[in-house]
Amino acid sequence: MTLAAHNVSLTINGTDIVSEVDLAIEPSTVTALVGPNGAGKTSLLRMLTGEAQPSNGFVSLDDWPLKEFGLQEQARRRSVMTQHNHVAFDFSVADILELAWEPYRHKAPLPRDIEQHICQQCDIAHLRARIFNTLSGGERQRVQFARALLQLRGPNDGDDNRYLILDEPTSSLDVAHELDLLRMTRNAAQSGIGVCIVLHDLNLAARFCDRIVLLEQGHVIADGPPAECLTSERLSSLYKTAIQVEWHAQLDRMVIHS
Amino acid sequence: MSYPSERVAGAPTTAKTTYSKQWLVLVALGITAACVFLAAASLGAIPVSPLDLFMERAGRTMQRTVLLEIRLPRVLLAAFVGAALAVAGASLQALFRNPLADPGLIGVSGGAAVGAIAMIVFGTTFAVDALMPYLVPLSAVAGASGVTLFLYAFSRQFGNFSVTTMLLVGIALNALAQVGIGAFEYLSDDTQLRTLVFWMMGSFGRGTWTTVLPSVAVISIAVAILLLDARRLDILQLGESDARNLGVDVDGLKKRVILASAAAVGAGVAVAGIVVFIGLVVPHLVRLLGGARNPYVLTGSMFLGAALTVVADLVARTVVLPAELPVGLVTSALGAPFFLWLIARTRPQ
Repeated sequence: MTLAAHNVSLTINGTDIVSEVDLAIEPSTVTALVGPNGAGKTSLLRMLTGEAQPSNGFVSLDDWPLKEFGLQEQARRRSVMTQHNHVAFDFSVADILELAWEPYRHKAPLPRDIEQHICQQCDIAHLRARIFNTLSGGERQRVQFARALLQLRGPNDGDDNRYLILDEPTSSLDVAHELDLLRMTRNAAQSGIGVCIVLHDLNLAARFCDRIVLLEQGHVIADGPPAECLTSERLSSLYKTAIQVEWHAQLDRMVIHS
Repeated sequence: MSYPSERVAGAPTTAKTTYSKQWLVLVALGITAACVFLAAASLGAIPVSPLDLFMERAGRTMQRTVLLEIRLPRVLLAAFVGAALAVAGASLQALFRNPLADPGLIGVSGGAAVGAIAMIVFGTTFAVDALMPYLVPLSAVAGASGVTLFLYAFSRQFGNFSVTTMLLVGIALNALAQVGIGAFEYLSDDTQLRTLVFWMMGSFGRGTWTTVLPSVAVISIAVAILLLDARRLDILQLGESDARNLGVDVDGLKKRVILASAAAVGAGVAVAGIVVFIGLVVPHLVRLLGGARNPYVLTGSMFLGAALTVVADLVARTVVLPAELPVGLVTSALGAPFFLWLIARTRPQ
């Protein structure tokens, strides 16, 4: 029972963006997609969410072709935080959060206690009355993350697995909020959600993710736990720059220098 | 950010508006529209009180005729065309995620205009004059539908029809429509040119029951479709990918909104000519009153659009009695300065 890409390729105007990738996002696990710019991370995510159709191969959601799920059903089973961060009109933060409940609108009213709890966790409770467009980039990102979390809290028919897909969710966050966000992501995984996250910060990936998938020019070049995947030689050749991986005894974790 | 979205300078950064306030504004706008409607029906060259009719005191048949056969269809037409333009304007602004979008933008008004003008100029040579009152609107609807169908076909051709592409196509279509309009103006004789100019500036003066009712029916259906999609238009503001990820069929939504706005605008242009700025000004006023949520903005625009247009028509037909002004002149006089104010006060983020 996974959200899985089976041998998917994506070719746009004759250019191979993603080539023959197999990837399964498993429940209760945080999987990081890591790789240089243009490695095909976002394109792979777009195929996992069904937004882009693979030129070859297919995507399945809990052993069933993703295409056969209705959009509403997909929205109840997985939420996505894209890098898009702009709203044209003066919507308040509360308005934006309320949109997360669209897939459940006919089933139940938005539970205010859950919404409030998520707002506090994401440190946006004080922003609820603000106009979204007047927020800073980092504040917007926290609101979007809260929206993605809220979307997975609706009434669940049966024991369907749920998946959270995050595309560079920390790109505008300060250090403290960055750590908060990844801790919340870990908590989500602990509650059974399968998480797929695109990260550029190798240290965060090593510290918070169960599994790293390294991408280079659309191919998976390594896939496994951080300690096995992130080696000095592999990273140095992947990013074409000297990168050192070492064990920090005091912190008791991997540290990656570049 | 180079996005076509701007914020009004000095606008508050917090939204104090609650949903109960939005309800209050909607009720107030609804009552205003109803009052304006009754007032406009009774005011004019011959004052008639609609209440007299209801109370069976309408012994004077001329007043009865004025109210039922002239005033009522005209005011009804103004109300429906105003509501159609405002709701279509608000919907297109939401669809394009551009606060400065206008129904004319996708080229439908232009298409309707070309259709109508072609009939005004050439119709007399092959059709009976008596049929002209029907042929001109029919031709306008055909023109609007032509543009809409083209947009629809175009969107199907390019599986992923981005909002930018759509705006560019609209610009091209409007340029084509201007060529058509210019050519027909050049070809028309003096009397035709007079009708044509009057029609191009908009007028509800030709509102009779036979021409009004079909338009009212089309507008009602189109506006209902747009109102039902208002929530999905809210979600679309997050961006097309995010809307899709929230379970919205974005392509279907875009097609419905395009077609419904086109039908609403086309049906209005067909009977009343081109009435400008209602679709731009009204949604902005409604947003200023109570916030940006589209279920609220669309409903409020419907009421305020109807009220403002009825008032504009009232001004147009009473201010230079016994003559009358084209209503487009009145809406332009009000709308153009507002538009300039809006441009001056908005700044790119």
